[in-house]
Amino acid sequence: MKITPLMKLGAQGALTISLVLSLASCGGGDDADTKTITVNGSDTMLQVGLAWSEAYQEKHPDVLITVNGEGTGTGVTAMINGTTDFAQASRSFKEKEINDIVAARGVAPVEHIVGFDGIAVYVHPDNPVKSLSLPQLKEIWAEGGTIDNWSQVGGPDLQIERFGRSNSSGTYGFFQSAVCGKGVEFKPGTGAQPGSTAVVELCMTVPAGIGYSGMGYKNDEVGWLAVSKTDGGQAFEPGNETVGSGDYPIARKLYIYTLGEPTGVVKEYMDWIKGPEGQKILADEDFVPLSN
Amino acid sequence: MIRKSQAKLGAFLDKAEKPIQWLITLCGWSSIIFVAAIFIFILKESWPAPLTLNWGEFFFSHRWIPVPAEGNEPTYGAMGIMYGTLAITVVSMFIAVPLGLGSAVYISEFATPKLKETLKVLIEFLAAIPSIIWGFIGLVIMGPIIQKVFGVAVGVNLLNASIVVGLMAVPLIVSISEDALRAVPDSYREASLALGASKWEMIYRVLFPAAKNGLLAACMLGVGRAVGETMAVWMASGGTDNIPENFFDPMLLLERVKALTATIAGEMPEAVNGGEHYQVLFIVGIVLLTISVVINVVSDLIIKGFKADKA
Repeated sequence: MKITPLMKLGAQGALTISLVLSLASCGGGDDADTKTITVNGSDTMLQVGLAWSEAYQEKHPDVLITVNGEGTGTGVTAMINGTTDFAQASRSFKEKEINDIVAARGVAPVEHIVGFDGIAVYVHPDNPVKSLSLPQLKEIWAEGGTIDNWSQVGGPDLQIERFGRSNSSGTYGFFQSAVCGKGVEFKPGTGAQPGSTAVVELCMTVPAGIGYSGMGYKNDEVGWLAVSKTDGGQAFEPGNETVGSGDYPIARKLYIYTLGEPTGVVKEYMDWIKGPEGQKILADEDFVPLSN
Repeated sequence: MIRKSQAKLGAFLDKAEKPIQWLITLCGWSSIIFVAAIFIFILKESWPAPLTLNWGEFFFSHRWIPVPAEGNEPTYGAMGIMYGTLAITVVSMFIAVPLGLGSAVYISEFATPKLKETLKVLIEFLAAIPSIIWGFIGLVIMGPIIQKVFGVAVGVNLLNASIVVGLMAVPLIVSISEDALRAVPDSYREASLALGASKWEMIYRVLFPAAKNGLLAACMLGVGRAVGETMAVWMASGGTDNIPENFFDPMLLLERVKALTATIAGEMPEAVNGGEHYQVLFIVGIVLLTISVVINVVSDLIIKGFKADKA
């Protein structure tokens, strides 16, 4: 409790300060008509949000952008409180959240899809199993599922060890709904790891391991599975093309919510994000751009 | 002249006596005020969940799903994570107490002055290692070693977390128990050796009883460290909240566990501020605080018991 939020706050504080400082040192940004955009929301999208703001401010010294990202829920709270009009989200806002925002601000948030994120299923590199279907993954991950040993899917006789994320993480929620389905929880005994790096690290060292994380965490010492939508269907490895085309089945959309239709500087920034420059930065951060 | 100024100072001190007394009383009470304020703050943040929470489920179920799948109700069964914290604390103390006391005895009674200084510096260095580094060691280095040595599938488990936390508690135990041993007058040592006791008998029969309050305090601080440790435990423990069927089966050492601290750290940043999940996480905080208060009070009573024995 002491450490993580504090570290996050510290990191964010430092980032905000360094952004402000770098902007001030550019000069010319401090005249009377400086326009400010305050970005808040998803922690998955914090890095890409920062990269966007830095690149954009370099070209537009009259715009000041501050970026925070503790979680999609925090972005909703910030929008209700009026501290942000620009919330990044790794899931779509829930009906209750939209109603709360309308009640507090009088305007409904508008959803913009700005990219995609593929969730890869990581395994040990020596694991002979190279592809699974969504129904098989459900039997492995979902409560009541019948697959508990790699030999049931053509692998060695080892009990499957599952590694996941904390219950409130956006990645947890997304993988749960995409693989287990509505109303079905993960099997008890699925370990909650501190982050995507820890999940991948365990898949590198545990021969019977399986874990889920963003596709950007792939390295040479860990393997991942090609996934097919149905038993016997064609399986696709996660990648820009397969996620963008919808062939890879475990992918989510990345959103930005604005309070009402964007106008003025916010609209210009949003158009730039969806345009070629913004999408290239998104791809550099290991997400999947819109038009692929 | 001098006398005059002294008289002035005296008069000033006479007048200042009361405020200074107040100030010092306030300082004395401040810790009580702080503890009460922390309790009240945590309770306030958790309100009104304590009224609506299913306490039977909280204490006797290990189904902790605060953010359930769409269409399901959240469940807050914290028994598994309470077991995890207690298990890590107990096992890590089996590692830290013998190691810490042994190394304190060596440093205070056997080491040459030069070696003593070197060892003390190294132990202070050990205390300065950040907990995330310990967690990293547990995850990346000790995990694979435990997998090889014990032939288990997953190396991040109760044993791994306990070794990491135990080693983190050792410097604390060493420095405080070394102080306690050094505080025993040399005349005790000389008297018992002169009576023909061996060095071991002198340490065991004379030094330990004479320093027991300090040694116990050292161990209790170690326990406090183990209960409160967050990041290292999170990375090295595996994060599953299962409860073993048989508490005396040594194999449970190789089971994965999940701690109260790690649960709060992992879920707080994403919990909706002021929502039920947020409030229940503060209840978990109250449980954690209660565990440390109980440990402190019990150790205090034990120390008082020792004192009563002496009298």
